[in-house]
Amino acid sequence: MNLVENAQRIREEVIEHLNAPPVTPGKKDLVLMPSHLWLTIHESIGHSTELDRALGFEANFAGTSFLTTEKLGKYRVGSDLMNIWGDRTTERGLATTGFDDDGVKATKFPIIEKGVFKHYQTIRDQAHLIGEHESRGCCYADNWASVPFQRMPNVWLEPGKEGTSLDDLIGAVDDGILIDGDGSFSIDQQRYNFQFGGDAFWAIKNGKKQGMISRVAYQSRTSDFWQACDLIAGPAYWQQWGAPNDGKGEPEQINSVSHGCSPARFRQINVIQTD
Amino acid sequence: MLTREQAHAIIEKALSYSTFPECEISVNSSERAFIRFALNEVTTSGFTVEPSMNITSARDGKTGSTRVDEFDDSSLREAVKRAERLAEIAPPNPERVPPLEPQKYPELENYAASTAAARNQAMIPHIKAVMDGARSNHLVGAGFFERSAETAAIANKQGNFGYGRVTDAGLSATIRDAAGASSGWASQPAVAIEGIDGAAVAKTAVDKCLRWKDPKRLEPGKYTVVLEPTATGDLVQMMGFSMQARAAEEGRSFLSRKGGGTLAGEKLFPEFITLRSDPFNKLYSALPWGGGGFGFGFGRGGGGLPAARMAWIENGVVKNLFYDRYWAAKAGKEPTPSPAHLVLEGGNKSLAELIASVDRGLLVTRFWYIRVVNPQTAQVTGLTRDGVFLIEQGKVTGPAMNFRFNQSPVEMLKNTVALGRPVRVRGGEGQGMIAPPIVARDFSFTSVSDAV
Repeated sequence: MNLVENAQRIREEVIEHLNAPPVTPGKKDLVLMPSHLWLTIHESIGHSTELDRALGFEANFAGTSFLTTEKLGKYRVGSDLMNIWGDRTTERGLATTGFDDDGVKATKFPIIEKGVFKHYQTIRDQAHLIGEHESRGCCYADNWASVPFQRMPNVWLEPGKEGTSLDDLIGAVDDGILIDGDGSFSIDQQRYNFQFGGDAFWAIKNGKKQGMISRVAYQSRTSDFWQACDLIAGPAYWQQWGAPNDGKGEPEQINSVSHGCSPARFRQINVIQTD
Repeated sequence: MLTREQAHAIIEKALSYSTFPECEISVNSSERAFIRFALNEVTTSGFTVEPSMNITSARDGKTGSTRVDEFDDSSLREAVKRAERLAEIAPPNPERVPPLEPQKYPELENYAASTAAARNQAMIPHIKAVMDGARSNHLVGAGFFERSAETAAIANKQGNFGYGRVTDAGLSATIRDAAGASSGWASQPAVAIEGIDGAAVAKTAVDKCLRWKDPKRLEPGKYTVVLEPTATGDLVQMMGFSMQARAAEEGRSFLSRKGGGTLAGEKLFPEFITLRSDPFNKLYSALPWGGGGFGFGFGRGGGGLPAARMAWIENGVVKNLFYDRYWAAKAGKEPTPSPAHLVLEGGNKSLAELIASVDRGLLVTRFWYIRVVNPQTAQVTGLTRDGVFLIEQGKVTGPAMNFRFNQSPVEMLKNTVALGRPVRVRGGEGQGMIAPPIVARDFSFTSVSDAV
């Protein structure tokens, strides 16, 4: 975590953030760092592609999903650049395992391929309900007293082309925001409408990173947002972040899960000014 | 479930192994039975019995904690040793407070033996009522029924000892149409399981689902809202976290005064707004302790001080802030009860009367995925869920699509113009509270959600 190494930078950013002018709301291009984008991936794609949600088993608590079963294999969630994997074999992933709680060997499978919804996360009890012949190894219980059910694997976004840099992302933005770190997060029970804040925000003007701004949150609809993704930085920028405390089920169970990505750019997203 | 005598004996045994000057122990014995259902079928059920003991040892301000779930001599001896070993390697805690002297706990027990004894046989008729309600209307039901019973004791090496028992039960149900185009929800929490009425839960949720067909897309903006009690509770319960004196004094809360100090004593709300903690309210089952800190779980045990009533907002005035034992000592104040077991006092109007008082507005069933946006204003964001209806000239005229909101519950209470009769509520997140339906002006909806 390099806490000591980062302490001085964080101190300076805190002071700048506290004195930063508020954002002017409106449509803006966003450049999202991995420290931030992992949570957007988790909420908008990780949860919407859980089969038990799509079938209605989570209707009373976590909710259902806009990715209903007739959309499997054909629905366009994002732009051609968007390739997202479900993966319980990722190195140092929080959901990485040898075998899931059904005893199924851990797998890696495409969830979104070139922007199109390809596979749900599944377990043995439910894979057959959508005509599949084997589970994708996503069964998990958090405790000896908990019933195993479908939980999220590590879900990660493929990096862009080798050599694509963060400067490439920023360089083609006239009026945008660079967002680093987590802030407030909220999404509806079918994973359409979301709002994310962040930890630190910098204005981007005419292709250059400017000073910090404050009171930023963006709102979008999952498929609108991912279809607005027009550039992803290369493998050199790919980082893995994650959540140790993802909740689902009744009684509620906790799951730990990682989400890797490179910085990515999203065009003309609705930005609001918070209190 | 441990009796007082059994809990006392186990704790005394564990304390006898302590070699440090300070040792605090909490022991719990809990039973939980549940049935979960979806797609008009039972999906899972469970019954768990779980004992646990938390041990914290301290010396020279250095603390170590551990947890054990077996109470034989060897396990207890080893656990106390483990806590002491951890304390030895821990840095001193600069906010460590001295152990409590023996306390006088109130006679506080609202324990329903019927709840503690209930198993699946007691829950199944209510779940069947929900499924029957769904099936007979060609709808799809999902839900959860859980009952819990717990005994708890706290003690320390200075001779303090407390014992309590609590029970709780709750049924919630979501009813959707087969196409996923409409959804309704209802929930009922109760200390005594006889207070749960599956048929009533089914009726409310089915009715909501049937009425929320083809919702109209309305423009986001500021609306007068009529919040059903669960919706009120979903938001106002967030204020409990905001009552901390420390956050207020450090400039991190809506109760911080610009330039320093707090807004304690200020009249921020209308005269009829009173928000208090009341563990003695018969709609709650609470332990006899609950103040002075967040140890033993927020709202469960606090810092081990006796449970007490406490007004946070009284007749519109910020009456008290929450002081834990550390911050109270630093600020020269008395520690207070924790801001749990919240009650927002109400009036005598029915929900129908509140609706009739609104010229144009929205009726909201409940909220979902509420998260803090700015603690300095208490602004939160979240969404409506399972039934939003347009009110025109005092009447519900049709369903509306869900909205995202960005709204401070503090501002919402400032803008509240009427209160109905309070009931105990528990929404999708949080512990819930006792809350009335309310009418509030200028509630800020910022975008439309397609979710059903």
